[in-house]
Amino acid sequence: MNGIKILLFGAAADRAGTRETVLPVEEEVALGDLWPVLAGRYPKLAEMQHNLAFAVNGEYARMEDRVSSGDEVAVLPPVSGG
Amino acid sequence: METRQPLIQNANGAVELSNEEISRYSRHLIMPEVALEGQKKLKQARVLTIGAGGLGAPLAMYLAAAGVGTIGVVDFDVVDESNLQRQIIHGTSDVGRPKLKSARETIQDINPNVKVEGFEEQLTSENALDIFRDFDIIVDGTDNFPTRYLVNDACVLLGKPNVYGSIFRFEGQASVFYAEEGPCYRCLYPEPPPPGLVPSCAEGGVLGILPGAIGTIQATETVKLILGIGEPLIGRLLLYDALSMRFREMKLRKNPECPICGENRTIHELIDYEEFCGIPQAQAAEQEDEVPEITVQELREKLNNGGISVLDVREPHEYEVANIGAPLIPLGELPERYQELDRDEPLAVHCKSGARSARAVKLLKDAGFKEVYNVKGGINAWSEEIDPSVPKY
Ligand SMILES: [Zn+2]
Repeated sequence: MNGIKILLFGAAADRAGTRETVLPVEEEVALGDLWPVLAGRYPKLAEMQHNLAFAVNGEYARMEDRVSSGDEVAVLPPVSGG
Repeated sequence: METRQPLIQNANGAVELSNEEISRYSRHLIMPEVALEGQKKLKQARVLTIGAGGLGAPLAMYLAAAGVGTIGVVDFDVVDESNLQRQIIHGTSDVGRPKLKSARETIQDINPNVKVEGFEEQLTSENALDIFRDFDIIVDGTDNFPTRYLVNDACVLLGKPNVYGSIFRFEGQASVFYAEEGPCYRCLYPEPPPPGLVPSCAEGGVLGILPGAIGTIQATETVKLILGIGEPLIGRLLLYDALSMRFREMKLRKNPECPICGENRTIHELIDYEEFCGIPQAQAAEQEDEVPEITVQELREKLNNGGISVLDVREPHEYEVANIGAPLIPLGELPERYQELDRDEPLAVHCKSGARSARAVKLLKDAGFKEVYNVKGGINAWSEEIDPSVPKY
């Protein structure tokens, strides 16, 4: 697969208006560098930046962790409902 | 059969099962993973559920049926009609009654062997440690961020497992945050979201069945921890999406810099969680950019005398549920549709309960509208105080 697959959950999916997208990133980048690309595509996501958790290929990841083409990135906003 | 240290140590001698209990738990007793020893552990266990709402309902009912000896319930709320779509521990005849009373009766009816310890009070930094101390496991079924962080921190400080679950629309999450063995909630979300960033179930809605799926996962994890069987959700976040009917899993890591469970932790006691989550700050800011308001009584008077128009800024599917005949422009479309409105005419804006219309009034004022009012309490206030034939939702 070309690019990085993004899965959006909960309120992040609502803000983006989609649950899934692919970012055309070919070389390896830090998650922190991928974020502006995603927030650029879905501007309503931008203000959630500091409150999201990220997972790369099913593992919790930090902004300095590297991602590359073929990876799957999950974007998880906090959920309070009970 | 045990795959890990059970939370309840050998219960031998401490508790016995009556013949009635042996018949009741027959399907447990014939499984070697539970058996007589495990059933006694369940009876000896003390589990605290925070909230008798969407998650707390199935959770407490299944724990009671499974034979957990003592179930603590913290809830100071009253049963509302809008709870019944998901909070199955309460029935139609319970509307208006304290949730704690109703929950206690349902639990006792399911299993009179269970002892219910009720805490009809708000969980606070002052009482949390005292309440938690006497329980083996805490199950988080709250509906707000301040309490979620409070439950997390109190569990970390006391070294107790926090069986976590949360729900939103068609999606749910569950995990076991147990700092003794893995990450805590703060390792996953160090900073709480500012108020209003993430909608609650009251704002965003929730499929009534969803807390059933997540609450029973929490109940399952609780029973596994008590018995020491299987693999707990420690260090894993389980994600459930009812629409695609998919479970996903995310491996979590303990954050070495976690302020409460990390090596150099900076939090050694409970803090002010309302403050931490920015609630008083948000209220102050809200008061500062207060918009002109109109009560539903004042609005009715003005409508009778003519000289004011009304605008509804909810979504079309809400309009279908209830409306008062006002033209509809959803809040999100408002900035592109100002030209449909008269800037010089007095205008009253309403939504469901007043929050979205307050934002609309601010937009309209900034766009140069001269006289705009926010209808206090929204269409629900209109239904309650002016016209009960309009359904309240
Ligand atoms: Zn932690």
